[in-house]
Amino acid sequence: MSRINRARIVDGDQTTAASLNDRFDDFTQANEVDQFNLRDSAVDLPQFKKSPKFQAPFVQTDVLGKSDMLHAAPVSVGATGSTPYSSPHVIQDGAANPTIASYGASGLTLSAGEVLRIYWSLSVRADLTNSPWDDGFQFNAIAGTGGGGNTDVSTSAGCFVAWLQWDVTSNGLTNWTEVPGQSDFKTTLGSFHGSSLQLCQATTVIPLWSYWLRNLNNGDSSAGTSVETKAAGWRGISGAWHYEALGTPTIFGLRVVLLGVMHPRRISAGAANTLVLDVGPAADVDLEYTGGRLVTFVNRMK
Amino acid sequence: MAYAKPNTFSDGTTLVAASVQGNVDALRIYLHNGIVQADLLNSKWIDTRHIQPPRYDAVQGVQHGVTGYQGGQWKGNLVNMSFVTSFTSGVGRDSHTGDWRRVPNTSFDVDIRRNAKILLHWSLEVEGGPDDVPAVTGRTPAIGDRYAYFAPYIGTVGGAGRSIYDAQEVKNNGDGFNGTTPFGPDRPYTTLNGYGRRTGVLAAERNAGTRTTIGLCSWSEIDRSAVVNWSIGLEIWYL
Repeated sequence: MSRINRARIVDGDQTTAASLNDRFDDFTQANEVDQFNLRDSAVDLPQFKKSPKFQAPFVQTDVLGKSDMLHAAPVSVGATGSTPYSSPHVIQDGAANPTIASYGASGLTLSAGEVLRIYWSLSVRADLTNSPWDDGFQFNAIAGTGGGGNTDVSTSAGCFVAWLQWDVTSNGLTNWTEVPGQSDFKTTLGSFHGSSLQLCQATTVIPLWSYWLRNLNNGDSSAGTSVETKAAGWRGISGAWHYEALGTPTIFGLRVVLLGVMHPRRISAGAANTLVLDVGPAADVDLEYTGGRLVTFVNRMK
Repeated sequence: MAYAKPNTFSDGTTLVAASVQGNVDALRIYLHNGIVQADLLNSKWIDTRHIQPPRYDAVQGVQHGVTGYQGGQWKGNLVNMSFVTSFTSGVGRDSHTGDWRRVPNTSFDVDIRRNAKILLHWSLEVEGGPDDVPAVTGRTPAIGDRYAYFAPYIGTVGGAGRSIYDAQEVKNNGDGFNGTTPFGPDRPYTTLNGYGRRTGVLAAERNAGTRTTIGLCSWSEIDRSAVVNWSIGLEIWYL
C-alpha cells in the first residue's frame, strides 16, 4: 500500500519539472486513495478554492414589484376577459418597468451536475367588485332537502396563477418561454384553455375569496340562510422551482407572470385534472400586488 | 477512472500558472466525482465522521462541518405561541423604517468560518387579532387595514439587514368579537386572509471570521398577533 508522504516545498527548494510531475503523479496509482491519502488529510472540496465558487457558484437577489409595503398605491392587474389570452401580466414596479432577474450579457450557464434553485415571494390582495363567485363556472348548484330549493354555492376555488418564464436565447430578453415542466395555460382542454396540473410545476396558486353560508340547516336554506363572502386580503405568497440541467443551458433572464381568473376543472376528454381560464368573472376581479423578492441560487450537487 | 494529470512539465519549458492550475482543477474534479472502485483500498477505511467531522449544536439545531452549516428549527402549537404586537412597533406610525422587532426565538447566532453564501428559509403561521379597537388619533390605521408584517433579517433588524421587499403581511381579523355564545371571533378567520403559511427565502453572503445573527423580525399594526408556528432552515455554503 502506497502512501503519499512527500515533504512540503519550503523556502530555498528548487522547483523542477520532475518535482512538479511527481506531485501530480502521486495520485495516479491504484489503491492509493485510502485513509492516509484522503481521510486523514481531510481533503474536502472547499480546500480547492477557486473562482467561480465550486459548491455554491452563483447567487443573485432581485426585487419584484413595487416598494409599497403599506399599500399606498399598489399595482393592479385586471382579470383576463378572452380565452385563450394573448399575454400574461409581467410583474412590474408600478411604472411599467418589468422587475425580473437578469443575468448579464453572458448569461448564467449551468454545468452538468448543477441545480438551479429559484425562490420568490410577493405581497398580493384580491380587489373584487359585485359578486364574482356567481360568475362563469365559479359555483356548483347544491340541491336542498327542505323548502329552500337549490342553492348556488361558490367553490371558492377561483384563483390567479403565477408562474416562471425564462429567456435562454439572448440577453435581449425578448424570447421568454415557460421554464421546463411549466405550461403557458393556453392548451385547449375541451372547450376551455388552461393546463393539466402535471404541467404546473413552477406555478403558485393565488386564491381570491372565501364564501360561506350561515344558518343552513341540513341543506335547508329556507330558514334565513345568508351568504357571506370575504375577499382575500393582503398577504405574502411564494413559489419555488428547482431545475437540474440536462445540458449546459445559458439563462439570460427569469421572471414571474400572472394570469386569472382560473378555476380547477376535470376534463373528461383528456381524463386530466386541470386549471382552466374562466373569463366569466373578469369584470369583477383585479389582483393587486406590491413588493417581493426573487432569489437565484446555483448548487453543484455532484 | 484514475487520475491523470492533464499537463506534464518538461525541463527547459516555461512554467505557467495555467498548467499548474489545470492539474489542480483536474484533481479537484477527480476527488469529487472521478474516483472509481479500482482506486480505492479494498477494505473499509473510512467512516462518515471522517468525511465531515460533525459538530451538532442542539440549541440552534444546526450541524457545522467543513462545507458549512445546515439545519434548522421549528416550534409551535396553540399552547406554545410567540407574540408580536403593535405596542412596540407600528402603532400610529405612517413609516415602517424603524421599530422592527425580532420575533421571539427565531434567531440564529452563527460563526462564519470561511467566506460563505447563505440561504435562510423561513415560514410561519399567524393569528392576527382580533383587533376591533376603533382607530383614533395616534392609533391608526382603520380596523380593516391593520396588518402584521414579517421579514427575514441578517445582522440587524435595521435597514441594513432587512428589506421591505422581503416583508409579508398577515391581515387583522377585523370583524371583532361575537357578543353572544360562542364568544370568540365574530367571523371566520380564513386561510386566505389570516391563517395560512407565509414562506420566504433570504440570500446573503458573509466573509470568514464574522459572527452573524440571522432570523425573523416583525412590524405590526395589530394590537396582538400570535405566531402559532414558525420554522427557519439554514444553509451556509463555504466557498
